[in-house]
Formats: sequence, structure tokens, C-alpha cells
Amino acid sequence: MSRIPRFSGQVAVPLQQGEPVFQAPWEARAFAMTLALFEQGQYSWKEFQEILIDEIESAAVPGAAGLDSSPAHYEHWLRAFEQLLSKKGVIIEEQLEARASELSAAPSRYDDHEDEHDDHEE
Amino acid sequence: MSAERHTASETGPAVRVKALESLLAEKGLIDQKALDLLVETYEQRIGPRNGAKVVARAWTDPVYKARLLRDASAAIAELGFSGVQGEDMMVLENTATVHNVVVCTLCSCYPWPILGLPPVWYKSAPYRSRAVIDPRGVLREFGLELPPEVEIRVWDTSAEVRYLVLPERPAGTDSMTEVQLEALVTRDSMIGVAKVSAPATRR
Repeated sequence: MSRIPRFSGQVAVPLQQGEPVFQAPWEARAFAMTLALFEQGQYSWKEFQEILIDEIESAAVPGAAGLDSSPAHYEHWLRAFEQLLSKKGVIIEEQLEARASELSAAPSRYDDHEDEHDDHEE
Repeated sequence: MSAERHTASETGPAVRVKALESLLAEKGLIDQKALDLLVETYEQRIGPRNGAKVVARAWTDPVYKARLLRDASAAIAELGFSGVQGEDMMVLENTATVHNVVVCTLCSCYPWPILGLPPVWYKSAPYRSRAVIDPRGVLREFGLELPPEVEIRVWDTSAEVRYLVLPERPAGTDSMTEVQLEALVTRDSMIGVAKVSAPATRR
């Protein structure tokens, strides 16, 4: 019980009704991948949950008034999933970072390719 | 290392998810169609209507209700609802003197097969924290003012057990059928932050 986040003030519960299950497509994909690999037996749900709890706990700022962790929940989830994959040796962090920077660099590289062929590789 | 982590966190979640998806697909660990089906299932097929069926059955069939309170997972599975996050269920009956509220203080545990995925507020830090510390105040924010003599019991969803609140059947619904009753049951009433109301009388 000591791990329950404490708030110094009265922080209102962010009430919303009839919201969509996922706030963005990436949340749905992150959720589905986590479930799919669990169903394959890559890890137990408890293993995922323990990392998720640590992730949420380490991100909590005690007494942060107005903190609404709701948009961040699937970000915690995603970080936990990444850590679990790394721990299990399925995808190590370096691989993920390399692929992510490739993907985020891709659009601008296409733009640059229009009229020049300089090699920008480092 | 810390600089690299910094870079990673600067990469938006949408890009990181795409990166994971492409890496896992290359390893043959995920299949796009299977993922689409999972998302569709949790967005459209699994939701609080399932829980409402359980509640309406319990209200209209005392024998079922007894089974539900004794072995919730088995009684819920009788209606065809089972799966991840619903393996070890427990049903908490609300009465005139006891009101049950469910929270997951550490993360977002929730009985998926019967309620679907949790709403935003359920996962929020204020709810997770305050539901335990000041349940009466939290219920008031949901518009539920309970008389002081009603005992509020807060259940922290642990790693193993998932809870479903069996709300009180509202007065004046004696003539309603199970299907009609089912339509009255709300998600919030099965988490314990609301009561079920009888339908407004029409003139």
C-alpha cells in the first residue's frame, strides 16, 4: 500500500464518459502486440505487469497537482513492453532505437533526394 | 547511455510502435491481420455489455446469483465470457448497507472479458490514489452521495484477482425482463462508482 501515489492536494479524477477505448492508433497497436506475444507464451502477464507497475511508479511525481496520467498510460505501457522485449532478448533497445530513427528520418530523406545525390551517411 | 535514452524518449510513441511492429514482423512474431483482429475485438466486441448480462442474470435468477457469488469465474464463463484478465474473478455484492468500489492502485488491472478495457479515469493517478484514501470524496465527484451509515469497501485489484461489482437492482423494476434490465446496467455501476437507476417514467 505504501506504493500508492500520494497527492498533496485534492486532484480531481479526470472524468470522461463515452471516450474511445484507445486515444490513438499507436495505443491500440502497442496493446495488441503486448497481448499477441503474451498469447504466444513469450512471457507471463505477471512479468509484463510488474514492469508496468515499476514504469508507472518511477514516472510518478509526488504531489504533482493536476497530474493527469491518462494520456501517458499507454506511454508507460509501451516503455514496459519495450523493456520486457529487451529483457527477453526478443528486441534489444539498440535495435529498436536504430529502427525508430530510420523511420523518423525516412520522410525528410525522401524530400532531400529530389535533386541531389550527396551521401549524408555518417 | 543516458544521452541515447534521451534520444529514444524524444522519438514519439507512434514511431516507436511502428519500429517495434516492423521488427517483430520481421521475426515472424506478429501478424498484421491478427493484430487488427485483436484491436477490433477489444474496441467493439468486448465491453461492459458483457458484464451487464451477468448482472441482469444474477438479478433475475437467484440460483445463478448464488453460483456467481460462490465461483464467479465459472458462473461468468457459463455466459460465454472468459479470457485474459478474467481468469480469477470475484463478484462483490452491493447492498443497502455495503457499497463496493474497485480500483487498481498500482497500474490498470481490470476485468477485460466482462468490462472491456478500462476508461481513462480508472487509469489516472488521482483515481488510483484517492479511491483508497478518500473513497467517499471520489464517489461524490462521480455524483454518488452515499449516506454516512453505508459502509464503503474499496477493493484493490491485485495481480491475480479481478473484481466485478454486482450493483443493487433498482426499486420499481420488478416487472422488467432480464433483457430490459441488462440495458439499465452501466459500466460505472459495475466498478462501483455509480448506482443503477430505474428508467425514468414516461408520461
